[in-house]
Amino acid sequence: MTVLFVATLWAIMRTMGTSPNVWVDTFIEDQFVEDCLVRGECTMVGPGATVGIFHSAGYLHWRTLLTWMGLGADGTYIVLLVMNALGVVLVALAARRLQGRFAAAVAGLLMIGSIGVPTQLHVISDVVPVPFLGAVFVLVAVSATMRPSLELTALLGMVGAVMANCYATGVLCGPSAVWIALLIPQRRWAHVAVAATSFAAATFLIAPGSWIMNFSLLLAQSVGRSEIPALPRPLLDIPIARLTVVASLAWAAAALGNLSLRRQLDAPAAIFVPMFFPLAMVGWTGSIDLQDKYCANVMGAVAVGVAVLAAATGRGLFRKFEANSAPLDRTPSLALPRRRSWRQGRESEAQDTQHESSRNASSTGSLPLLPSPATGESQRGGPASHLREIAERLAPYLAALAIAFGSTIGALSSVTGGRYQEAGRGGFNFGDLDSAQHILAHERGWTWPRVFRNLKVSDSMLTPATLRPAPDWPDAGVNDDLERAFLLKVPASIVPTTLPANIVVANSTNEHQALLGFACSWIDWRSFRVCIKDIGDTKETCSQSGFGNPPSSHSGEDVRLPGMPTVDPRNPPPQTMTLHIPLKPREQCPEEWVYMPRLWRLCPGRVVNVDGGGAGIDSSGRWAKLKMQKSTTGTTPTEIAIAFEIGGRECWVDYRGYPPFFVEGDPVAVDSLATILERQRILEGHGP
Amino acid sequence: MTRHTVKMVIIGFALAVLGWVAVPLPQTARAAATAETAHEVASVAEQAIPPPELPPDQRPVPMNQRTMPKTLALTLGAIQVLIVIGAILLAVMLPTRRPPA
Repeated sequence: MTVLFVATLWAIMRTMGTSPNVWVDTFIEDQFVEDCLVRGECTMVGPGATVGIFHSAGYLHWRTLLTWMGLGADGTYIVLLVMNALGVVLVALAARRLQGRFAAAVAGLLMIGSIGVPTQLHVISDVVPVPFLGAVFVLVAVSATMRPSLELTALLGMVGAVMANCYATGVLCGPSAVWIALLIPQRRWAHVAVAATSFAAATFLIAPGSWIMNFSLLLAQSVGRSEIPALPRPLLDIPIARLTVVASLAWAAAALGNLSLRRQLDAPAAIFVPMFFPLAMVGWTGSIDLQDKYCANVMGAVAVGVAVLAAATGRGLFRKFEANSAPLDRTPSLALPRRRSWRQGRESEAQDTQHESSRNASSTGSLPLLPSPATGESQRGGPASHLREIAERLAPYLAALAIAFGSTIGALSSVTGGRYQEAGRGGFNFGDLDSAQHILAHERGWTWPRVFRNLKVSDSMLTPATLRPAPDWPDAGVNDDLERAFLLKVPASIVPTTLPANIVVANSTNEHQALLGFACSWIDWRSFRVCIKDIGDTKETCSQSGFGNPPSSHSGEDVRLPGMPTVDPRNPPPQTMTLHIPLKPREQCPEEWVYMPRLWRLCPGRVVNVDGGGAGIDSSGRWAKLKMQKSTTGTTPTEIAIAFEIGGRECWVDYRGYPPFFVEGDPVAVDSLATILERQRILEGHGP
Repeated sequence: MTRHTVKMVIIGFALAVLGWVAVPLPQTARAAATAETAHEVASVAEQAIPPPELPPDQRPVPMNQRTMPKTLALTLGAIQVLIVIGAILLAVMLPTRRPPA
């Protein structure tokens, strides 16, 4: 198990990196954490969710604890990665207890194949710990049925409570805990009471405000009314949903047929079967866009269930082969179907428990309720059995080798459908931001207000409001509001080997580079005019806007700039937004180029007009090349107008209440940055 | 744990749930919960703060804006961590124990 843990952790860190990608939810969580630690105002309810409920504050409590212990974004992320690697091992351990080492290997492989980018393993969010907590839950569930004790049942309920306070689907742990308690033959109803009480009480006590609020919303029937349009996705398109269906059907078949396999599947089934029904209902009605993360809490149980099924089937086939090759040397197998009535089955379970407990106590000290596949039977066999035993012993090591080697050659991602590929796909991580901040603050002397106004980032998710003031920005510095900085994250393969002097590499990996480019510009972002016109309407409304003083905190402040259209990710009205930006030509940069990129996560804009002379706008509106006229006869441009179609397919959630990203400045700077961004456009497959 | 104790725990829990449900809750919650971000939650709840005739210091704080002290939040976080660590240790180590003679 140690080898499996090391291989899994190495594979996850190698593919996901050690710095989390920036993510809107992370920023929201950070704001709550900051409110708690800096201002002493810790939320009782938590942030609102899109489906009309509130995320529990319970998750924020322990995120706050990690920050209080001194862990920043990278430290917190590594803790989450270690938890997920440990989750893979715990799932393997649970499967090993039920069906031996081969099942452990299969469960470990299935678990690492289930987590990844779709469970948001590349960012910090409340979904990330859920597969790990699900793994703890299934291990405790298996242990609670193998060696029943009220303490373990209580802990099972409490682990379920922690999961329910991390992500809403964890509420299903309540019925699961009760079901698992029902599987315990002795003092069954005491176990049921303890499981139900511990789950309910702990769930409520961890975050009472969240549950009072959510319960009231449930009574008011205002839950589930997300105004974000659902994109119905077939249930079986999601790998973990497919596995949940397979595992549920296998358990149902085993239960109906009274097969002994059912006993091994009971504990994991008590976790994944309650998920099967809501999954099937949602898949049938198409009311919610199904995502892998909704199954994160049952991934461990499903992996154990499928692994037990696979191991039992494999063992049955092997025995059949063995019986055919040496028919006189075999005894009936415990894993083969045994037909008996339901009542006989339940009664014999209690006897089995006592028998197995005493047998194991007198021999090895371990307490497997079910016959261990790696022991006993092999002693009866010949070379084939010995071969099987060797294969079983090697199975977890082979799984570890496959995980480690798979991540090294990139096969882990292809086997798992890209789950380990997208982590760094153009997205900024917190390491990039730290490096950029270091350059701006310590090498360039930029203050936070200057960064707020003049740093432009090629990712709509990173608004100036999310690039909040860090403690070590200089208090004072030169405030040149005509010097611009551009932060890009691009594939390393498209970056020229020799960069011009105005571009520096802020952070780099083998796959990606974060570049910081500087330009001398004519645009002063402190003041501009914004005009809004509904599509199909002729009336245009204009108002004054500009980057003034940066917000000091999130509380009660509007994140968009004044005068800019309202951010409405649910139902944005289709509008044409035109920015009329005054130009301030100057001797240091007598020419100004403007380039409008076409990239993923960026609203495409076009230059529609330039007041004054010397302008050259290309037909697509993607380029404008302006010149300052030095002679008295010539005219110099005074204002540039740039239009964006917001609320459409290409500028929906990417509009964030600020002027979208484009590149402006002196020709050398703009040309070098545009060359890189054009290569990225071709790589992403965008049109011209 | 005796049967009587179990019954009392169940009855007590049922009463607690009934009391919890019966507590009148602010109507602002419903509108606020549809907001997606913390900012939107804050602004929606702020808009819904009644009644204007009350001085600001006497207005009820909406549920979603209520806060708790840092120490309590950290304690609740630590309790969750301990539950999970305890569960892992117990589940991993339990099968190696011998049952009482």
